[in-house]
Amino acid sequence: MRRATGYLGVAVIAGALGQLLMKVGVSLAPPLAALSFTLEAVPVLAVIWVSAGIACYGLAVCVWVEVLKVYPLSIAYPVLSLGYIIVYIVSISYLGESGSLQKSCGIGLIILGVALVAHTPQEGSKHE
Amino acid sequence: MTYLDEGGVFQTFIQGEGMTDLAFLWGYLALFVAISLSACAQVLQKLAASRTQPALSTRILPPVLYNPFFLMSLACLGLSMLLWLVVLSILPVSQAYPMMSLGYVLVMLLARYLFKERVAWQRWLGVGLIILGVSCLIGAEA
Repeated sequence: MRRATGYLGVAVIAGALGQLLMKVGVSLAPPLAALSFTLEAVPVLAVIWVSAGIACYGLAVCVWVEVLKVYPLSIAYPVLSLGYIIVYIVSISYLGESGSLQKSCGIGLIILGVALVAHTPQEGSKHE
Repeated sequence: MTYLDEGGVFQTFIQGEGMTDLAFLWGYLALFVAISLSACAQVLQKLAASRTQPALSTRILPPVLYNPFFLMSLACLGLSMLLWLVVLSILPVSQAYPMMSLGYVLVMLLARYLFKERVAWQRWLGVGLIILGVSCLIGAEA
């Protein structure tokens, strides 16, 4: 249980970090570089950041399996979506992205929505 | 410097005097395609899981790698990841990342209509909230 909680924390942080690293990476490259397949025009630094981001994402996917062995989706998904808050805070603090009340509300609604979508009704209350 | 669309239409939207609305539209389009592809990957994995594996004792690789549904799901995920990088190069990450939740909505709809799974009313409410939240995010950047 405790171990799975740790993995859940790793999944949230690695998932968020992965997105931030990928964002930093693609910002250093030309717009459609991801689709060009010829890496010669892409700065090495961009490739490094993006690769680090994908590695973080991969780590999150790997520990996710361990999380799901203990936690039901109805807990795991909403907790994972807390990563949106991490990305929001870091990106407005360090990446120069804009923050607003509307954006905060949007993220709040999405997290609430994820909690409901992942919600599993109690057995025995089958009134559908 | 050689990359796709060099000196083409796309760049003029992105570079120069900053982003225009049209660039954002491309970003949203790429985002929806990326999310749809990852939702398709989920469905393909479900199909792969429900397919009985033939005994392949003579083969070296894990049997799942001979499952066409699984291979297709990997292709979808790879393409989705590639497109996601395009998305991130256009949209702010604080906006794009939460919008990934639309994937849960798509998977739920596919499960409902493809696999005839039951969907409780609370989950429909959740779909509504996610869509509302995504609308807020799109509106906030405009």
